[in-house]
Amino acid sequence: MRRRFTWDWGFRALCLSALIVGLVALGAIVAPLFVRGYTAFLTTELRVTPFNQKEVLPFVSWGIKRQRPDLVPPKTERPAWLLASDEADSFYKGLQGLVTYNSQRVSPETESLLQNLANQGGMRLAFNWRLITQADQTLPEMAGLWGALCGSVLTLLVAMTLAVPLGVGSAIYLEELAPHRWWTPWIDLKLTNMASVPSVLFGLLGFLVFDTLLGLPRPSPLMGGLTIGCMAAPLLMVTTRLALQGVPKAIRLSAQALGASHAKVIAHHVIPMALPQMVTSGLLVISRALGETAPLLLIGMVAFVGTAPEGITDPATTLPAQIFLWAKNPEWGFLSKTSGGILGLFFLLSLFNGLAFWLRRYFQRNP
Amino acid sequence: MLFRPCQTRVLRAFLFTLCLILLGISLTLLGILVWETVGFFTHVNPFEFFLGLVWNPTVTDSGECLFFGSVPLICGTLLITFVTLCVAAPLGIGGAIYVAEYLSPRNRRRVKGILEFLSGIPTIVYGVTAALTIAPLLNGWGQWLGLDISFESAVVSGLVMGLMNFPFVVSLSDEILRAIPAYVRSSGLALGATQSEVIRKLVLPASIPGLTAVITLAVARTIGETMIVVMATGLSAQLTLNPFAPATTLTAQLTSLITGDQSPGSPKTQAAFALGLLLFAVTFVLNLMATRVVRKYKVRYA
Repeated sequence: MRRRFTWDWGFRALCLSALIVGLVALGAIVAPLFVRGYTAFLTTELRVTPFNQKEVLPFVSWGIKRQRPDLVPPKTERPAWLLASDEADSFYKGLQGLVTYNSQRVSPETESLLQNLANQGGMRLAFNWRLITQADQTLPEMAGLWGALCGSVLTLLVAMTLAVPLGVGSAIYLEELAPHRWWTPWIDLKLTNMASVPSVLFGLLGFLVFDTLLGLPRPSPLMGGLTIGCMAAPLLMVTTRLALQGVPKAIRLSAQALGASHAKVIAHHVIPMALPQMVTSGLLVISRALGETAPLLLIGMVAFVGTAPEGITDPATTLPAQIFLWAKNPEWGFLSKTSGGILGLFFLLSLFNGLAFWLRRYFQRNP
Repeated sequence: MLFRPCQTRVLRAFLFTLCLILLGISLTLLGILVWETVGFFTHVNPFEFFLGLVWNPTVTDSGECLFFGSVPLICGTLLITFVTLCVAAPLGIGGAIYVAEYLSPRNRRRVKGILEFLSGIPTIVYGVTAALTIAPLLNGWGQWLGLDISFESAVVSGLVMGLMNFPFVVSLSDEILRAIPAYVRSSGLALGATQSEVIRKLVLPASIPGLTAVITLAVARTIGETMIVVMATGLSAQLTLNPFAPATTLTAQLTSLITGDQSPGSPKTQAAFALGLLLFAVTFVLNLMATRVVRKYKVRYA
C-alpha cells in the first residue's frame, strides 16, 4: 500500500516537473532577448567641443558626420552631444554594465582613449529616438525600426483585406449554406488541409505567381500582403468555422420557424452570436500573420530597404524580416538591435493578444 | 425594394464566389508545385532525386544536372524531427497530464492562457535564440564534455523546436485528456485505484490514439518549420545520423535554392518546387492521419 502511494506521489511529481522544466526552459531561451532588448533603446552620445575634437571625432558615428556635417566641429565652434560609433557605443554600454554580447574586442589603445573620455564625463546614454523614427541603415547606430514597422502594418492591411472576406465568407458558406452534394466534403477537406500547409510553400506561390507571372513590384507590401493573405485566409476559415459551430442549432431552427429567411438567420442570429469567438480567434490569426517570415524570405522581402514605405507598392520590409536581417550582421550594435526589434515585435503581438483577451472578458460579461 | 442583399440567393452566390476563390488559390498552389516538379523531372531523373545520396545541386555549362539527391535532406529533416520529439513529447505529454488531471480549474485556465501566449511567439524569435544563444552555449558544453557539437548541428535546432512545440503539445494533449469522460476516472477511483493508477491504467491507454495524433501534428509542424532551420542549421548536406554534426533540412535547402538562384525555369528553382511538393505531400498525409484519428476517436466517446 505504501509503495502504491509512493508511486502515486512520484508520478505526480514527474508530471509536474515535466511541466515546469518545459515552461522554465522556454522562458530561459526567450527571456535573454527581453533582458538584452532594452539596450537597443539607449544610445551613446559624445560631447564634442573645439578643444577635444581631435580625440573625440574618430569615435563619432560616420553616419552623423555625413548627414549633419553642420554639427561637426570643422564646420562649427559650438560644443554638442553627437552620436557615438558602434565601437564606442558598445564600449560605453559595457562600462555601464549593460552589455551582454561581448563578442567585439576593442584594441588596448582605443580602450584607454575611450576610458579617458568616459572618465571626463564626455560620454552619456540617451534615449535612442532613431530606433523608432528611422528606417534600416548600414551603420548599426543609425538604424531604426520605423521603416519595418510601416512595412509590417501595410503588409498586414493588404493581407487582411484579402484574407478576411475570403476566410470568413467561405467559412459561412461551408458551414451554413453549402448544399450537401458529393463535392462538399471534398472542398471541405481541401480547404482545411490548406490551413496546415507549411507557410514556406506560400512563399513558392508568391514567388511564381505574384513575382514571375504577374510581375508585381518586388519587395513591396502589396506582394508580401497578398502572399501572407493567401496563407492567413484558410486559417481564418478554420477558426471562423469553429466559432460558427458553437452556435446552438436551436437558435437557427427557432428563427426559421418564425419565418426568417436563411440569409436573415445567418445575418441576424448566427453571426452576432458567433462574433465574440470569431473576433478573438481572428486576432490570434492576425498576430500569427504578423510574425510570419518564411514566405517573405522566398519572395525577396527580406532585403535592405533604407526608407520607410509610403504606399503599398514602395519597397519595404517587415518587422520579423528586419530582425532576421539584423541577426545575420556581425556588428555588436546589430545584435543588440535584433533583441530590440524582437521587443518591438512582442509589443505589437501583445497588443493583439491583449485586445483578444480583453474582448473575450468583455463578451463573457456582457453577452 | 428591388435589390435585397439579405436575400438568400444573393448571399449564397456571393459567398460561393469567395469560397471558389479560396479553393482556386489552394489549387493554384498545388498546381504550380506539380507543374514545376514535372518540369524538374525532365531535367533530373526521379529515381536520382528520390534515391540519390548526394545533394549539392549544380548545373554544368552543358546543361547537365548533377547531385540532386534528396536523401541527405530527408535524413537531416528526420534527424531534427527526432531530436524535437525527444524534447517535446515527454515534456509536453507529462505537462499535459499535470494540467489536465491535477490542476484546479482556475489554475488550469491560467496555465492554458500562458501556453496560448507562448505558442503565439513567432518562429523568428526562436530562430534568433537558436543561432545567437543556444548554438554557442551547446558548443561550449560540448567542448567541456569533450564532444564536438557543431554550431549548425541538429541538436541545436531540434532542442529549440522541441521547446517551440512544447506549448502546442501541452494544449492539444490537455484537450485530448479532458475529452475522456469523467466516469472513467470515477469508476477507477471507486474501485480503490490511486489517482496515478487511474491515469496510467485507464486514462492514458484510452487517449493513446489522440496523443499519437497530437505528436503527428507536432511532427508535421516541425517538418514544415523554416525560420529556425534557416538561421540555426547550415547548408552542407551530409548523410549522417550524428545529431552533433552539421545538419540541413528540406525547408532550409528550399529557401537557399530560391533566394540564391532566382531565374524561374532553371533546374535549381524547379528543384525547390520539387522539394516543396515533397513537403506538401508529407504534411498532407500526416495531417490527414491526425485528423482522421481524432475524429474517429471523438465519435467513440460522444
